[in-house]
Amino acid sequence: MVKHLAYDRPVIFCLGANHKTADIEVREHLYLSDEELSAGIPHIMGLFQFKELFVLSTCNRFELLGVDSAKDLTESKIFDAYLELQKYSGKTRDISTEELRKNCYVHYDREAIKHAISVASSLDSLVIGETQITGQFKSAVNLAKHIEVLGPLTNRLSQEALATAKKVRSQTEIGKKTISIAHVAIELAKKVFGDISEHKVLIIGAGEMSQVAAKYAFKHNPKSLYVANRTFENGIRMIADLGLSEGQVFSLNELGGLLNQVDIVISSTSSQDQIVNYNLVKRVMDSRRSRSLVLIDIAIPRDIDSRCSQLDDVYLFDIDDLKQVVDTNFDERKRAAQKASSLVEEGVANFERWLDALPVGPAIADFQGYLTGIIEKEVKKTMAKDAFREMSVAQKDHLESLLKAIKSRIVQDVSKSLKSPPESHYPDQLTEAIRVLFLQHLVEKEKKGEK
Amino acid sequence: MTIETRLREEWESSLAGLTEKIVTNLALFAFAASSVVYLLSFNSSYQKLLFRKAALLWMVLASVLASSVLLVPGDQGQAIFTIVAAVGWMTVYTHVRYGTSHLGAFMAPLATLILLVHSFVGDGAIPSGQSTLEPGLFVYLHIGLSALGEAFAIFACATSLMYLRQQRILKKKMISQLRNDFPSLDRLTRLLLMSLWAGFILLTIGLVTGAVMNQFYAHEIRPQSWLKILWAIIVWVWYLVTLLARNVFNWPQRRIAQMSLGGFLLLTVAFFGLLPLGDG
Repeated sequence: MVKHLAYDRPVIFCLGANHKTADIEVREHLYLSDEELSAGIPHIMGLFQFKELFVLSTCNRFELLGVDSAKDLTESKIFDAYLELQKYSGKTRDISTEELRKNCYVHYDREAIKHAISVASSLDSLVIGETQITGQFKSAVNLAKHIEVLGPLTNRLSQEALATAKKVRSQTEIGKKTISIAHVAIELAKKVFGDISEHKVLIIGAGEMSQVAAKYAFKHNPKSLYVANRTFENGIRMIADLGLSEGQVFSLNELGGLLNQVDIVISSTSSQDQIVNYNLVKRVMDSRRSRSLVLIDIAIPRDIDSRCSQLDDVYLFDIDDLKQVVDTNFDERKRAAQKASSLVEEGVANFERWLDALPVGPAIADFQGYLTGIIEKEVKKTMAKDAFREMSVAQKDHLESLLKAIKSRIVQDVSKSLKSPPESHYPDQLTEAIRVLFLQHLVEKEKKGEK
Repeated sequence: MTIETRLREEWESSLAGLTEKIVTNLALFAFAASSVVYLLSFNSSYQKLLFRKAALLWMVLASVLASSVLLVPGDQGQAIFTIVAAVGWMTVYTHVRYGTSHLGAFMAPLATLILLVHSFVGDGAIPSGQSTLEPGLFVYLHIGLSALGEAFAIFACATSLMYLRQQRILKKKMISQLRNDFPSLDRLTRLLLMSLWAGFILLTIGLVTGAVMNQFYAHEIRPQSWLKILWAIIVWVWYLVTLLARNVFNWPQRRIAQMSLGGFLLLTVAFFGLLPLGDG
């Protein structure tokens, strides 16, 4: 392998499909588990000889991110590798290259770097600011490390991506405001009660929204979680998923007694009539002795009589109120995403600076060695001549010091120009020029060594 | 008494008076600074934590200064400084224990206002030579406990203001005005009830010790003192009704908070309006 990358410019590539480019059927087909990736990635590394690789596979995206040399890399090679990975994992339906090209995107170098950092920072997610993707990105990197396919560039890129993701999360509002109706419902209940764990929650209904609401409520460890539903069996089925006992399911006839016990009610049924009326709540509040009651109605048509909000110590929120919060939070996330994009650009610039400096160090060391060799050779040749035989030791020392100082000055100037090149010049180009002009003999030696 | 002893006593008295004035003004400044920084912390979302920590530090300093005035022997403002010191320490405690930093935004200005009014109006404390009461532990107990009771009433007032604000926003569904870091209604209700009970118990003891004091220790009871005593009883009854309204009559929480505000106004009249009429 050639040691110095200046002759073998690395190209960072990214081939992927996400929710923007592929529909759910294609994404479902592309998804691979960790076990499948652990077997498939070393196979395609052996077959296609990429320098570095890691794969991110989630329900919303499948991406190959890797490094290869400029002279070896082609777009068809990347697509073939992608297909081979799918085939090796034993997918029953083969996906054709045409279908893949239609549903995928390809990025190189700066675009690939920016894409990787954006993905890790949740800016490319279906729900901007979601927290899962950063963990999934980290897992993909850890898997690549474990199967030893992660190299210095992808390692550094993943570090930069995760560092930027952390900055995005801490310096912007991107993940702070929830945009899920059920989550907003619980957050509103917390404005009244603070800690949900000291209060009882009642979920009315056993449909999809009720299930989501029940899951969110359960996460907050309420004192008790009750479910009331017209069909008892559906209620049982719903709480079985949450691991609650049968005794916590009730029929709608028992609502009066339940409302007296609980503090938070979330209702989402498909009923066309009102489930909770004003008189029922008024009667309940008389016996609750000033204890507040939060009613959250996420059904359409509404389950809870809107007049209940007129009662003291009753706080009623309907779907419109929750949507208002969700819309406001979504707008704030979009604004935060704009701020986050500047952090992503910063991350990209950091990585590119590191990448540019990569070949410079070894080249400067080699150049210094080259100058030292010339000076030593010429000094030896010159000192052997008659004219210099009578020089004193001190004079010889002074001469050698002078030559060393000239060498140091030249190396210093070259190093400065390589690390901070003038406008419209790039470090890897200048490094290559140094190698071509002065270090050709070293490169020839390495090539002979390779053979 | 020799001239030397008299001069030394006069000098010590002047020094004590000067020290008290300096510490009083420093306490006023610290409460005012705390008010400003607490209010700034509402607006500055970027440096919110920094401002709140700074406000807390100013409040601690103000409370220390107000408490130190109590240690300086003097005739003026012992009750006032008991109140503001207690108010300061209560704010510090709830800020640290419950994270209710917003309470400081109400308490610090209230404490500043009390000190400002005291600076201009005074609290009507009568110099010891003119008092009709025998000095003693009982008198200090009466004044101290009553002042602490009043401090809890101030705390209840601030908590009520916060409760009413939050309750109105939630009732009218002005959800965009909800702040993430504001305490929940439940937390505010508990703090309100705690302070109402504590204040009521202390006011009760203060009233009883006042009654005993007048029976056994007062040389005479001036006619204008009766108005002050009557007003104190009215305030006590007001707080009794507030607590009964909650626990017995099942009134809504909003009404309790409003009554707590009313009680504070009555107390303010009692302290600044009626205190000059009587001893203690």
